[in-house]
Amino acid sequence: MIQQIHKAGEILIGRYQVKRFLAEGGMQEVYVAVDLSFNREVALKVPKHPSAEKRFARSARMSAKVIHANVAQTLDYFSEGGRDHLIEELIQGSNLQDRLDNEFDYLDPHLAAHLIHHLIRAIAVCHRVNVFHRDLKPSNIMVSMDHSMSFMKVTDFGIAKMAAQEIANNVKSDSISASRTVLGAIPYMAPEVVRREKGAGLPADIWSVGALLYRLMSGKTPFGEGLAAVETILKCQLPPKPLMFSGRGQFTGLVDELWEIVTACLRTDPGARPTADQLIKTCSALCYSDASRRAGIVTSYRRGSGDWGFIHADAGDDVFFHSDSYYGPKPEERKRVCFACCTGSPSHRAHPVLPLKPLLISQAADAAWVADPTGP
Amino acid sequence: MANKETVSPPPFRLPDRFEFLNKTLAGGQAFVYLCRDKFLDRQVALKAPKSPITEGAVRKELAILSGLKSKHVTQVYDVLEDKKSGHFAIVEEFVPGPTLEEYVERTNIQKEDFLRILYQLACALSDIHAAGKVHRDVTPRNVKFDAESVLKILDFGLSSVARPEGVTPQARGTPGFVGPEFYGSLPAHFSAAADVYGFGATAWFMALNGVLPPSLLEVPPQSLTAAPSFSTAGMSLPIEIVEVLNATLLPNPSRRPHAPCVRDTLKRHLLFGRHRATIHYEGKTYVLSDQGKAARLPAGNDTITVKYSGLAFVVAAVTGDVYINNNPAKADDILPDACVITLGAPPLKQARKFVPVNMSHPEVVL
Repeated sequence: MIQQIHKAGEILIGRYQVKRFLAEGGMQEVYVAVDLSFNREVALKVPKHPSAEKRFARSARMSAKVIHANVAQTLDYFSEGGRDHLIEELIQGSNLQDRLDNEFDYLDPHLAAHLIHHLIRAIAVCHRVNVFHRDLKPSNIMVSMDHSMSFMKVTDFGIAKMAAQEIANNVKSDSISASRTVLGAIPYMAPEVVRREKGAGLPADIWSVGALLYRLMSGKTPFGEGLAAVETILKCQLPPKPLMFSGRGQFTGLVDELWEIVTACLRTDPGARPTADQLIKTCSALCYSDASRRAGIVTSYRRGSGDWGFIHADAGDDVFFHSDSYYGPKPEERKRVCFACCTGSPSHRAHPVLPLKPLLISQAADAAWVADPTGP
Repeated sequence: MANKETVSPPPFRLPDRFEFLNKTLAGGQAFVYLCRDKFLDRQVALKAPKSPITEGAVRKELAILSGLKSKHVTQVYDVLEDKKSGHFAIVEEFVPGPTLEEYVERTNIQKEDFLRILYQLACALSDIHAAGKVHRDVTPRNVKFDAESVLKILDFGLSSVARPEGVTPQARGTPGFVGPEFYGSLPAHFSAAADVYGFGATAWFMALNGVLPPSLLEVPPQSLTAAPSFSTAGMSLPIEIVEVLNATLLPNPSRRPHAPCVRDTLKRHLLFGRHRATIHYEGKTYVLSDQGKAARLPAGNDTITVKYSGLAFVVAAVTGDVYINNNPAKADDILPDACVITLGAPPLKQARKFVPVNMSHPEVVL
């Protein structure tokens, strides 16, 4: 394991005490620290390589100009021990990539619409001050831990220019050892960014929004994964509409509107893509359910004669659902799901219902214990 | 009564990091110096007490702000303290404005704007009260808009941590915006309800283009005349809004609504006419979204008519055996957000018709 830059307990500029290592990206290490002047927890970011410091500083200045509830707040910037440090608001939550790896294969249109709506607000406020992100991808989006992901914040502005350079180097040298950061970024990169065109700008973020929405709803990135995606992106050919977008039953209407957003954002000509402000208008008119969600396990489906079944909720009650409210292939028994719950009699009614990945064993034991209060 | 603006520099030496931008605002307890943070190349507000007497108020504000997380409250970045000279200041997010007071002066506020601003203010107060704090000086001058028109509530100088027995040694605040409870024999009792009163007075200030109804300016307020009803505010406000706004100004603090109740009522009305019901009937999907329009779902003699009121989908008429989520349907029932309408009595079993209906609406993101 590579030596980390800071150790727990270290105090920087007499104000920030390092609490623990949190994560590392391709360019930086992230720690949880305590701001001793206010006794509040903050995120401390340090570039890994001194060569990246100029960009790091510029990225900090760019994001410091943006003050918005959907953008991680820049709090401080300083040098210590010959390294630059950035202090950001510490977000209680996890990044969207982790959630896609561990919790959701894909999102239903309601949840996807909610996330895209908040994302586009963050992007619009940046674009208004002429700051663009350059590296929008699920790992740069922080979301709250609830199943409804009720709040989200975008982080890591402009760091991406570094990533763009790295990918160009990789493509040139045909290297197969591209970093995880680069591999994660490619599927969301606009063709003009991949080509490293000088004029790449705000519309590149819009492309990323389209690619992200496609990924969220279908479970797949539109142009494939990793370096292989580079070629497909450069061909600029919109992939065929995935089955998930040919919404059935209760999802018609909303899925069509979301697909229109995807296709508009993924236009080859950057000038033909909608602006962030235009997308805000579109998203403000979308009708979706932002109700908070619960989780449970499908316990019976088609035991009767209709297309319906029950979910045994983690809270212990049984909730009815109709297959028209289920986003994804046919519901299966034992499948873990999350759902919004509406009043009904004798059982409440779930809509929409979204399948989840199976829980890890330790989590499953917890859930089983919660679900059955008479258990061990 | 706009804040006085001068160019007088701070009376102490600024750390090299900050550059004074020749703009100073005088608030109640503090001077606010507009500065540039050279490290991050952004404008910040440097707030220093007007005199040693008001230092306590600024320190109190700091304690409150650093424990509050809300998009409607300014972010504190730093504290500057020089033990030797005794100078003390806080560095916080610069909110360019205008204040709500300035905005009212230059705008003829219409209903939609009125509801949106009040909704944001109710969100701000809900966040503050949820954190166990009280602002104590809710006025149009202490409410400001940032570059994205997000409302921020400023000047927590008078604020305090809410305690059920909370008493203030002396009644302060802005006349017209404080409730009658502050005019009794001192010490005055205050609570979150005092902020709700300030909210109500602020609503009148907006509705009347910058003035207050005379009854709020009586000493004590409303001692001779009760506050007028918001039905006379000239914006043809929905009755539900009128009622909740009227209640915010009730002289008895315990009868005023809580901020979240005001917030939720305003939110419902911001979505007026913007809901959508998706009805899945006989293999086809229908969308009902025009206010005043109705959908009639027949199955033999069993029929139900659902009408969109602008706020909800309401049962307009029922004939025969019709159930909503297994409960017998009757006129004036409001459909839950997701339901199935069953046409036909239970003995018909599979011959019954099942119609799933789901409601959705745009998300209010301001």
